[in-house]
Amino acid sequence: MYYRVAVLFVAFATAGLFVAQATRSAARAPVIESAHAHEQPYGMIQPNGMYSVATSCSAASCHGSGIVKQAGGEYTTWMEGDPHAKAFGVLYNEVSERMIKNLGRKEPAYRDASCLKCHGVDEDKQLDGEKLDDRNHSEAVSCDACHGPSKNWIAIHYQPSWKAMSDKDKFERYGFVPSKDLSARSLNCAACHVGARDREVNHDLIAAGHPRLSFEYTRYHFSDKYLKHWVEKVPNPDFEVRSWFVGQVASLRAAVDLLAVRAERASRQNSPWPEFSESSCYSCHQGLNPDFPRSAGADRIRPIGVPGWQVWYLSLAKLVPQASQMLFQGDAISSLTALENLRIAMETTNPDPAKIAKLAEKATAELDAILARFQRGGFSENLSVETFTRLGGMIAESALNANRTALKDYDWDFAAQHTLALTAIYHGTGGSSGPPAIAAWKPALLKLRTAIAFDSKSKDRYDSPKDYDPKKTYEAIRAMYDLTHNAKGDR
Amino acid sequence: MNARAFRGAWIVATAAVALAMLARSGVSQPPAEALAKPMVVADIHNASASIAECKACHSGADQRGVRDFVNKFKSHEFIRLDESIVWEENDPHGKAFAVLDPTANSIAKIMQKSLENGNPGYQIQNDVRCLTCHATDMKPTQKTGKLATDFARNNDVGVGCLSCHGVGAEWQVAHYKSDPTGKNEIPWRTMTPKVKEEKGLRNLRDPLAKAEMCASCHVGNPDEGKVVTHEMYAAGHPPLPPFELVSFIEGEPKHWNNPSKTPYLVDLAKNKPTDAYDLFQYRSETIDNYTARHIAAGAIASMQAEMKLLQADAAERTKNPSHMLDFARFDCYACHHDLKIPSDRQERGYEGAPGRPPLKAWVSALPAVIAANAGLGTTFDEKWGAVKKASLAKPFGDTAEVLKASSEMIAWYKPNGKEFMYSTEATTALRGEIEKAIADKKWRGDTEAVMHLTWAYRSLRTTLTNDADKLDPLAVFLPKNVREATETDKKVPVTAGEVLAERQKKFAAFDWTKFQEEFSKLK
Repeated sequence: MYYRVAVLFVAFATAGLFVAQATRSAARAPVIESAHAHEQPYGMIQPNGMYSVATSCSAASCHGSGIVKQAGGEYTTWMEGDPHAKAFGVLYNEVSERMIKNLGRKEPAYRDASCLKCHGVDEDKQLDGEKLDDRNHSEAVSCDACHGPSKNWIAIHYQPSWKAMSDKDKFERYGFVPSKDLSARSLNCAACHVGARDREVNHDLIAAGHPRLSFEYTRYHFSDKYLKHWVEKVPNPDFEVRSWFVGQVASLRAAVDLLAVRAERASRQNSPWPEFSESSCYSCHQGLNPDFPRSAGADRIRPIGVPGWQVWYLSLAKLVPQASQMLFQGDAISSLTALENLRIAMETTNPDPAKIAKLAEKATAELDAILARFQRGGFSENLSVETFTRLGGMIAESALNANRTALKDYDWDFAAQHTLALTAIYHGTGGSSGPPAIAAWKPALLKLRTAIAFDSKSKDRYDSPKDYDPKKTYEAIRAMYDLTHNAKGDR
Repeated sequence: MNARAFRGAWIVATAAVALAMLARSGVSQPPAEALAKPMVVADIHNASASIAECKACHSGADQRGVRDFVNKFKSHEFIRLDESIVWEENDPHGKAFAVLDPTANSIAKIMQKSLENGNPGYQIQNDVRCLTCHATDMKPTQKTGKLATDFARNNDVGVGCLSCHGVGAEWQVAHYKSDPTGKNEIPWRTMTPKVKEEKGLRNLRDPLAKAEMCASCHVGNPDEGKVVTHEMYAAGHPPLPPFELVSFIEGEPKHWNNPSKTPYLVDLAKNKPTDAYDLFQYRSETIDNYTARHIAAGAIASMQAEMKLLQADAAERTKNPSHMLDFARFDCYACHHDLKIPSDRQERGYEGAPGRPPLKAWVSALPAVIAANAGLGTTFDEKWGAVKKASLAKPFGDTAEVLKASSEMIAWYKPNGKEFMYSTEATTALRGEIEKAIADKKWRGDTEAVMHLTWAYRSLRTTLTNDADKLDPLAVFLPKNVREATETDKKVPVTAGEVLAERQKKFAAFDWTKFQEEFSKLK
């Protein structure tokens, strides 16, 4: 009886939300149920958009020229070499079948609304009053999934008047995503690759068989398996380092906002709490080797026996203000205090969901303000080798304890994020054929990569750092520290 | 005997001891022909708890006229008389306190460093949470508010004689006192366990009382402050392995004889079977298999001990809504496993929502078989089903439901002394049931459950056909025993860290499919 009342209440509340949503369909992005108005970036795809099928874009004279990697061949390139094109097909594979079985779901994955949120175009939206049933889902993550629901702009986006319009207008009036803007771009990537208010990969899904999510923009962008159907306007090395930086903030923002939703939900109904996917996977999923140093030796950054919260997205958060001084000349960015308060509250044995929801909203606002500032412009250009060296030195240093005798955190995610950050600088500056001061990082970076690599020697496959030895990571990071601090005198 | 009765007995024992101490001035010294020198009675409030007093007789040396005493009363047919030596030289319990020394033990060093955080004066050797199991509790009746000074904790004691046999002073004198007339045998031998308990001796001849006592540390006992929390594990405490009474006993250097190897008891069981049971809880092997009975008692006592920990933790939460059930109450390896693909857990499927840590599977695996074998399967499954459901209702359980279900699970077992009697036929049947359970697909991914069942199976195989060595190939997949003795282990154990690292490595690499292949060959 009580349950039925609760269901009715939720149904009404949901209906109310939809009405509210519809009445402000052209409202500013993103939608955050927050009492405090705060500065927000624009460009995040809104719910209830009207989608077009990809064949609306793939005419030979538009984006389907048939020539890969050339203007006019965007659709062809996507079809040929963009992993997003395979997003729907995987819903038929063995892993998906097992997941559905383990989750006890009724529909197969390729019909399950929660899967299609990310593996197809948004599943329950209308096109010209006609419901987009599964006929369009087979398109996987197609044009509209990233560029925004195109119903309102598909017919005008090739006209001269369109080109004259500002990014902000294109988005706010028509829903066209300004994907050249890195804040908007990475926020939209993060909606699926991290999670959003209406979509998430929680621990139930992961335990059922879904791979964990661990989004880091440059690792995805520069994958050689990812054929691009566009050319970046900003050249490297600036682009890669800048996209690493913006990607960090946007991913963090998505993670914090997702926590806000989960905590808020858990505070008023019986939904999973603690939500394990908020914690670092390998803080729990590690063997119990008594020799593993755990917290002894590292700085005490969280109570003993408490898993780290979102170590993946948080590992470099403290560097944001410092890094912004090197990479960004716009309005100054101060330290992320709301985020730190949230971390401390999350890293306790019994985080209270209602309290967490409030702290997470504040932290989201803090991060939103930064992303909005990025959108106003002011990124440094033509960055120097000295700047990259200093940035690399700062990243290496942040991985070490005060005496530089051990890692600050033994969590694998912490090591991996530092590795990816250093690799982005190295790769962005041209790798081994780049400037000698950075090319010299190669041996240390290789050592670092080996230290964090998953076991590939045993014939069984492991998706976790079995036998991970933080001491090896320390040695490699320490080598990076020495390289970046001795390159030009002792800093 | 259940815990409440047990506690009751302690209160009685304490009172009895106090009375005995008051009356002591009038008590005559032990007979001169037995002991040349008077023995210092262990004072419950001021005892050294050192094994020195016990050694006088139990070390086989001819001190104070012990040999005459032994010959006269045929003690050698009854006990071994080398108990103290065996214990002192080889028993790991004797090192229980010494291992807390951070300068001598690498694990203690890590734990000291982890737990002292922000508290410079902290010492694990003074931490009551550690001492409840790593030292001899001289105030066992005082369940809470214990101080470090309530424990006898010398490096040569650890978990000493009194820890298991009882700290009461009265029994320590009474148990060797000869009949004043000198004609009859020692009066102590004709006293019932109940009377002896009143004098402070724990009834270790009752398998269930023994199992409850062992499980109080090897599983835990919230009433006695014996709880290893997740904080302690994370600080470095080794994971407590599943507690299987017989396998653990087999791993011990034995300072006792099984009753079937004790002429006194064998004769008594033959000539006066009622006395043999009433006084020594012993029936002859063909009527009641000693090993099978211990396996059953161990499984039930461990299950109850874990349920009490769960109950106490859940009760704590009802007082403090923000208190979450401790991670340590759940299956360690539900979380602490490498993410192998394909995954045994994903192949097997989940009982609740995927990814919710279940309770420790081994806790119910063996009791379920024993209950079914004894015709109590339906009620057991019903109660355990409720516990399981409550624990999986949400991450780390629905506390109110867990409290209710665990309390009912504890109440499920009401000992009447007869339900677990194992004739040779019943023992053989139990072995068959355990064999089936080991092969059950539902334990895929639950290494501890398979290990626990296999240990019990191995002990039964020894007692029935003495061919347990056929199971040795399985040691490739699973630790054969909780503590595998090595050559260097005989006197000085290999460092705790090394033993554990090896064991955990083997444990983590457990391959269910290969294990089943090998196991099916051995039937």
